[in-house]
Amino acid sequence: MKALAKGLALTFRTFFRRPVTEEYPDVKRPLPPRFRGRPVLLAREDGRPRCVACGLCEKVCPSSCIAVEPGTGPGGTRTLARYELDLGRCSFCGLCVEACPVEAIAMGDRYELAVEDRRELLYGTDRLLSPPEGDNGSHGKEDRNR
Amino acid sequence: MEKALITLRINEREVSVPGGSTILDAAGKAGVFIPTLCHDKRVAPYGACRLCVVEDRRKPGALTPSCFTPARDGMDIVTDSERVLEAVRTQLRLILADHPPDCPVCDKAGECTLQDLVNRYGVSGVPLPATRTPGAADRAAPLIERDMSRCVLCGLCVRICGELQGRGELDFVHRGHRVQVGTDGGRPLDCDFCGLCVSACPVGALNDRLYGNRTRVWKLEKRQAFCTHCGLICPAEFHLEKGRIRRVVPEKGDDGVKGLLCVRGSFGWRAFENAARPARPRVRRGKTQVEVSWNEAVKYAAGKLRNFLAARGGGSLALLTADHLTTEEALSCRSLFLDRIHSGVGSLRAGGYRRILSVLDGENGGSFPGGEDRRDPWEADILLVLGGGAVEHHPVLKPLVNRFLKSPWKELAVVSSWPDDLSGRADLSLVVPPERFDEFLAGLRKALSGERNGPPPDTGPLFVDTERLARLIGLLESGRNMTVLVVPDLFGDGGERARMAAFLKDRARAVLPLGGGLNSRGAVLDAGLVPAGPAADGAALLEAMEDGRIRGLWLLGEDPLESLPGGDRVRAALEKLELLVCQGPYETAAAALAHAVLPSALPLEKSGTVRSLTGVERTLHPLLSPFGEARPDLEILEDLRAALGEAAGENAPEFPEWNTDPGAVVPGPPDRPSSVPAEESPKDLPGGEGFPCTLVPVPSIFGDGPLSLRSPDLLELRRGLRVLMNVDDLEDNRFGEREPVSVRTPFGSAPAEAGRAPGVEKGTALLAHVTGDPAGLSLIRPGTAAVQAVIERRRP
Ligand code: SF4
Ligand code: SF4
Ligand code: SF4
Ligand code: SF4
Ligand code: SF4
Ligand code: FES
Repeated sequence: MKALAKGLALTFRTFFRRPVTEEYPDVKRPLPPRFRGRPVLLAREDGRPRCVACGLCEKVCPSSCIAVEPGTGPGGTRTLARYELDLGRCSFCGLCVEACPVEAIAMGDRYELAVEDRRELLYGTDRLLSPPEGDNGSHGKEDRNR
Repeated sequence: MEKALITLRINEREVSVPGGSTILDAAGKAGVFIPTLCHDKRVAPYGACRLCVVEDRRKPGALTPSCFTPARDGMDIVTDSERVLEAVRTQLRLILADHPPDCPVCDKAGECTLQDLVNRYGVSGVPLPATRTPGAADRAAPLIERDMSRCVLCGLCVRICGELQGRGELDFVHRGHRVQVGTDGGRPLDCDFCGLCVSACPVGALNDRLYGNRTRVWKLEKRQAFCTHCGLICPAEFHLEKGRIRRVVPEKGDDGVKGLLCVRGSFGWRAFENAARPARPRVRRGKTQVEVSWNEAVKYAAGKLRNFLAARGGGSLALLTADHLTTEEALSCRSLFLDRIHSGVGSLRAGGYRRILSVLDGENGGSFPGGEDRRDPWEADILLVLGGGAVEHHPVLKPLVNRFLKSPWKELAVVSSWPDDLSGRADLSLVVPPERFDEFLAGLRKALSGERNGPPPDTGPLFVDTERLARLIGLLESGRNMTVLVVPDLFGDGGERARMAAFLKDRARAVLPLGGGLNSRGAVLDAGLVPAGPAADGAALLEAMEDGRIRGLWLLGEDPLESLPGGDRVRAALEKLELLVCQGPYETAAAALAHAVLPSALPLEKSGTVRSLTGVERTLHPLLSPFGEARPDLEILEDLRAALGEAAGENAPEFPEWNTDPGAVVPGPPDRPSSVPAEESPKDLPGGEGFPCTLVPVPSIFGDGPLSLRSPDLLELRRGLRVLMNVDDLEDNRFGEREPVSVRTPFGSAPAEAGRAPGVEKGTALLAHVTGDPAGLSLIRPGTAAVQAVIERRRP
């Protein structure tokens, strides 16, 4: 009897507390600033990728999921022709970001990445560059987690 | 002569080196690393970068550059003292202060000497205020990009181009801190495009444009292989990415010394990516060709061949090879075509070479100097070149000859029918008019075989400067150690040269004919696929095709429309043929007329043995996967042999014997010979204004072989047919450099571009890049070393 009362007391107390459960996916927790979501390519002011196709991220990636295809831009400089990232293999380690000499790649804040077809996990330059629905790179992590 | 050994200490390690070695050599032997930036063993040490400084304990206080300081007995060298390290770091900082931070976009990154040294010596950040900003790269020239903002002024390109390639295209321009490497007047590069400067540049200042911005050096798979554009088969390193060639660079030997390549080796590799190739075999059905399976194609070709042999005999068939067959393939070819069918054998491009080689071989009973006994031809004291165009046939000879001439007491004598590249640098150079060349050789031979004490040879009819002739005869009679290079004319018959070569054989250390294709030497000497019948010579072949002695052609990579002069006569002769089979890697003009097209693999797609013109045996390994359903020639030939054998039961069928008597060949329908334009009477040259001259067809440095003609980059450098003449002639006729002109000969006319060539006699013009140019080929006839022509401005 005594034990029952004790148990019920706990139950009632919890009743009037604020719930800790979050209604994910309707409500999302704020992410810490250094959260590592899927990698994103950053753009220059004119919208072209900042990436100069040096290939260091490709070299450093432990999962070999990056393919950088260089091309020749105006004046003969090396420019990015195609960037491909296989998210199906990415381990979100962030080494590519560290390797990049021109800060052209960053860890974004998207983590809901499940798809029905593996092929959709192959991200090309465009998808990496202009992340959908407000996922605009590492900046503004706070904004989108309201 | 063995040099005395000297012994010194480097970083406490004792090492003995031959006298004359530098401290750097000794350190290399001791396994001690010394940083260098301006050193390349292919050229003489220079001392520009001062990174190679070392300290001698016995001379404290002095830092010595090791790359050109000779090692001396008892030296006690330190390479890792704090002073030395600090000196190297300071030097690197100074270089970096004048260097753009371009590594992420620089193609050299990953194999850059500067980058490596900066890493190794831990120089970080921008140590001094940077003065250089990335400049715009100069991409005005094809193939080679120059980005002088990255240049560290090591002078390697200047030296390798001047010292080794002998071109002197690059030099230092401006003075003081504005000093730069450039061309005269800052014009775009217009040179041999050998790529040696690119291979020597330690940083990303000179870059291969075919490689640029396509990959990264760490992604490359490096494979040792050979350049297959000509018969020298130079070793080369092929850099592949995912089965595709990215670039070709000179091979680095075991000793770390890089080798040599010419423009075809360095920049001609896109021939292997040329997609103008038959992917599947085709056979003629009625008026069209249809693609069929290999089985069907071989059966068809064998059936055609069998019917042809039954009707016409083996003597009516000729095999024309571009000599891209490996020795194994050539053997199979020989046993089928020569031994069993008794057909004729020849080659259009390597015909002259094969002729000279087989004469030499025959006279010597199977082996001949410079070949099997592997005596290094470069060990000789005198290099005698007979005939023009040695360097044009095999451009790597240019640096090789320059290297040869660098050693003391070496002499170069050139007897040429036109002022080719080598005659410009020869100690003794005789230019004999091309139409007189054979006569000259015959006269020379007579003069040499005459008694020594007799009257001086009658030099009247020898058409050259008497004094030089006397020197030449003196050289030939001196009994000195001599290597003779014999170069056939582009379309002439090499008969007289062969006789001369045979004559000189006993006097020379080595007699090497030049002008052969990939495996010409292996095919003739090792496989015995020797020239036979009228096919052995272009002029005879054309006549035989016209008068019906040859009624069938089996083409192994050759195309008469591409390399047999004669214009419409060649096409008419091909159209008359009763059997025409094109077995080769590329789609050719003749393939459209063929009864069967059998796509074969390129040299880098098959394996086998080949032998270089200097007698070195090389093994080919497949580097690339074959195109479409193309197969190595060996498989095709073996299948063909099986199909032929099958048809006649177990035993080989008896084919009518080859008979050199044309009467023995079964005649064709009587109407045929009437259509033969054999007695083509040269029309008189129409007069009018224009520049009358003697036109001499010459080989091209950019290659006349089937492979070279399929490289888009070499074709771009050729820029089509060109007539090159004396500056005075150019000015007298008011032809501008590169001006479009039209050339007329008694045989035809063709559009060309005018140009300048040093050393050409007045009234003579060189006809360059004629192989592969149908209009150009119509200007001349096989067997002619020169032809009269009129060059006039092209009317718009
Ligand atoms: S985060 Fe790591 S695994 Fe993912 S792409 Fe970058 S380097 Fe590769
Ligand atoms: S030359 Fe070497 S150091 Fe200079 S930018 Fe290129 S890779 Fe970097
Ligand atoms: S490509 Fe050869 S000839 Fe041209 S500048 Fe370089 S070294 Fe000289
Ligand atoms: S271009 Fe290259 S090889 Fe030539 S001087 Fe400059 S750094 Fe040296
Ligand atoms: S000399 Fe001949 S084999 Fe050597 S690189 Fe040139 S084309 Fe190739
Ligand atoms: S390597 Fe000796 S001075 Fe440059």
